[in-house]
Amino acid sequence: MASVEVKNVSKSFKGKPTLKNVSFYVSSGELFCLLGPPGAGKTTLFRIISGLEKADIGEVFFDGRPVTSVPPQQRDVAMIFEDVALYPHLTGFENIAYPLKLRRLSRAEIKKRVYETASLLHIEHLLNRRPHTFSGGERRRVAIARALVRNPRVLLLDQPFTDLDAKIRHEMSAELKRLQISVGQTMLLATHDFEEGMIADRMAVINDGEIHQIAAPKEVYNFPATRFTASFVGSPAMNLFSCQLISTTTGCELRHPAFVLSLPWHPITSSQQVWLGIRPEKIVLEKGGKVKARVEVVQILGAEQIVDLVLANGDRFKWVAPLSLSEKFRRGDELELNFPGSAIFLFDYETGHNLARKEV
Amino acid sequence: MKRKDIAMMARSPVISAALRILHRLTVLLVVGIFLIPAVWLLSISFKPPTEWQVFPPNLIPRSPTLDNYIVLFKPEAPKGTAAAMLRVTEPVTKSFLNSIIVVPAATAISVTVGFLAAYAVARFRIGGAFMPFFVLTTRMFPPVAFAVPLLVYYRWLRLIDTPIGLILIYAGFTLAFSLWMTKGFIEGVPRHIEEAAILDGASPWRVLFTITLPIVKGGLAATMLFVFILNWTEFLYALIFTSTKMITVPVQLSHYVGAVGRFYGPQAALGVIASVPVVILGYVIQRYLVTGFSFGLIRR
Amino acid sequence: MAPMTTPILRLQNVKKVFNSFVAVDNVSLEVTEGEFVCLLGPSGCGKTTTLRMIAGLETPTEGEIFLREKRITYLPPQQRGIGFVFQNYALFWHMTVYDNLAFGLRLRRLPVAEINKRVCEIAERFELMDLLKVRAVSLDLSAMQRVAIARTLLTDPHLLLLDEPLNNIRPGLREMMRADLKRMQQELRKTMIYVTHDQEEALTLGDRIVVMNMGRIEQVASPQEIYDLPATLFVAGFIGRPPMNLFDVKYAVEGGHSWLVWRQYRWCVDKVRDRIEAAYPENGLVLGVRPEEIKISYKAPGIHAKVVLVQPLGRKDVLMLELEGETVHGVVPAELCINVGDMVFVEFPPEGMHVFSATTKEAIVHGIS
Repeated sequence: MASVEVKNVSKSFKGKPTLKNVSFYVSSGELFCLLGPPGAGKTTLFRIISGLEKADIGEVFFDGRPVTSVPPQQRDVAMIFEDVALYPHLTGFENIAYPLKLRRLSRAEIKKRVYETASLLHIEHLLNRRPHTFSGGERRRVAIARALVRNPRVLLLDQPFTDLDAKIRHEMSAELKRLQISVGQTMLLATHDFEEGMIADRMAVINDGEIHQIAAPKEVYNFPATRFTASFVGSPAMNLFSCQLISTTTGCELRHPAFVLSLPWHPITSSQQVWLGIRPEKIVLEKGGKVKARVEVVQILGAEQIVDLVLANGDRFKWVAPLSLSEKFRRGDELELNFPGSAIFLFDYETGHNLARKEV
Repeated sequence: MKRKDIAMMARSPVISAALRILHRLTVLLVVGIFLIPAVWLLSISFKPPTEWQVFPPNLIPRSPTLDNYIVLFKPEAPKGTAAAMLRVTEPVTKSFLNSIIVVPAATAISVTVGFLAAYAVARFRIGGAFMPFFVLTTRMFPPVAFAVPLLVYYRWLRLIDTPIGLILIYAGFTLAFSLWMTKGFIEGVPRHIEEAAILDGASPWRVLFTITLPIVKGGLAATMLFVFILNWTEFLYALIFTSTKMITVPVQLSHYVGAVGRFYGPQAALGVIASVPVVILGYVIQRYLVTGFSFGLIRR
Repeated sequence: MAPMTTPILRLQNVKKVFNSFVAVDNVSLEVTEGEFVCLLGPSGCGKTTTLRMIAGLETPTEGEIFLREKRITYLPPQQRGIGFVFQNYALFWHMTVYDNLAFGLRLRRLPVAEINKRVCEIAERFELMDLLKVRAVSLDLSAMQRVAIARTLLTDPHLLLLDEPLNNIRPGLREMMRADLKRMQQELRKTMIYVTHDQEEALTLGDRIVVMNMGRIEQVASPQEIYDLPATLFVAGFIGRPPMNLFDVKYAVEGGHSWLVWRQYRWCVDKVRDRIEAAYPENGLVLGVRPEEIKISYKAPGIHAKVVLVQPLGRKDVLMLELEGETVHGVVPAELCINVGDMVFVEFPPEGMHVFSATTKEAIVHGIS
């Protein structure tokens, strides 16, 4: 298993920059997630790592050695494409055996390895059939088997679970993680679904060709580096309000058309506008709370309620409340809420960076 | 509104069944119309000269005869006065053999080169975006326009009336079809499948032969059949570029026109015999046409 | 609960067979006007086929469909007055938003002034006024959804059918569009029938949910009822993420008390013994406990379990535990910071224990307290 380093990679298509100075490091045996919305550059980056595309600037290293001049056939990289790309004219067995045949292994050896990998992924019953008879989940398993059977140095998965049922997606995610741990495979996973990415050891959040943050999933969730990261990771998404920032002797005041909050600290910024961010589950119901809002929609999800609220000035935000509350909210209810200072994030109005605090 | 109603999707089972029957009848009718010339050809081939131009025409010959077939192979033994006026002295075996040699060879070359070229154009954009259209220029002019310059070249190269000469011409002029048809099929193969093979370790040639080719097998078969028919029935160049040794079946057919008119019987007989290889080829390839196309359906 | 007024849509014993494959098997359903109904089930359960039969894109092999008590089973789709939103919205790519919206009206040959009025009205309501001149192909997903729905509403349909319209949208955006859709439906009070395989989506959007499996309806109820009182094993296992934990248990009467027995553990079911005994418990019982309701802590009492996998989901962590050789899922708040390899204690709360019959697959009792 190899470590992967991407260093200062930039790429443009027809004058439009797709990747802007992207760098990160993946240790051997790590499950690394590249998380970003569609069009962020994830697929391009994977194609550069696998060798199917060349970067304009920058290098890629496997185990410390540059692979930029190594053709894709020889990089020993396996990639699972978004549309799976099984060989339609070959059976399951032949699909998985293909890379081994190219390496001229003996028939006996090929047979042994194919059956081993097939049993690892519970697809023995698919070996004699053709891909067009497989279900979505089965096709993905065969593709993963084809990739793993040759023990590639690096395995890339490009949005591997997109058009699967929600339930199967969740199961396969967990299975993939267990597989990765038991085999010790270096895996890079590209997805736009942050929940899929949360099982990774570390993740890189990318948007518009730029990396916003590289950290363990929980850290990205709890300490988002930029406004984009904060709103992309988390479901429902983080609520964001545009506020005026006023310095006070005791810290600062955040002025929003519909509410005013005071905080005992001051963000390090010279700007007078900030983005106030608070996760829906951190909002609290408090009599006399500073934030007054009206309920628009209540969605009940098992043991929680997702309440859509609207402020006096028309801004909308969400609140996740436990269902155990004696009140069940209804459309039209007027509520008094509070945003606890400990749960508030402030982001720079221009750059979106998470603003550091200066205690007063 | 009435006509649109007929095209509706939800309808009662009775109307559904009625429409199905109507549909089948229409198909039979159209197919029947297309088959009439072929059936008529068969009919004439068994008719004696007296029945060739009878009006009203009858489908079943009143006195069926094999003379028309016999005279093709034994021209020196004609029977009956009309046949005696036939000035054809050679049996058709020679032209048949020529066609059987030239046409498959030309077709094979055309499809092979066309396929490889199509792959280069489709995957690597060789020759730029306009390459496919440049290739098409060979079909933009009436064939006769190329005849004179080619004749000059051929005389100089001594290729007139040679097998190679005809093969080269047939291959060259059907290349455009081969390229365009196979290009379409190649583009139907998702690129990701080829890229997966590359990452598995396959060289570009390996990818072409072990992945792309099997998937477009059906398309290649269809192209091959199409080009075969084009070459098999080609008349103008065969006439111009052959004289005695290399005449092909279409040219041979034209010999059955004498001073007194056309000899429909032998022509029909030769037509029937000439159709046989094409029909056999079509039948053999049919299996590939069906199974080949189904691989193209990648489920989403 | 029988509706007081006539239902706007009624399906009666509808069956659809494709070449000996039974896609929809004896489905009967009543929909009240103004309701948001979700057809929920895994791929291939028949939900989309059912939707298409309501729309008229397929004909039932057996059974009838009534719209406001008028028989529409074989009526062509154009004449049903039902709007359909496709999975990929099926907008006319190169036409502008205005043309997309006006399409249906132009087909009906309405005067231009009238078309203009109606289009502007609905564009205002759906916040599309600035986008009227934009080509459909350059729109973002949320705008596309609004155009797709606005387009169907312009023809003033009796009801709206939606075929997994949010399927391929990433989670962050999906929530917002769901809320938009729900709000829109509540304001317009239009009856909507929505097909999805995502149980979370159905639970949050639907007023009532129709859970389907293999062509049959498993349960029709409100989201709360489906969640708290699943009628069959399938519904119990399908609803909830992660799905309900299921254990094969035995019924025993010992020492004057009734028990559910699993491995060396047992739970007293005296309070519900009558209901259990009426359901032939000797043929096998299945115990279900939702991962969200399992009590997990580092302290006894409880069943000893090892944490095998942690899937963080942001505010919660989904744990995969190994318990007496079985794989069990649990959900804990992320703040607990439980790690792989930790040893924890697991308890099943009596009010959260659901008992099912192993043979009929139906629910016997929800909660044993």
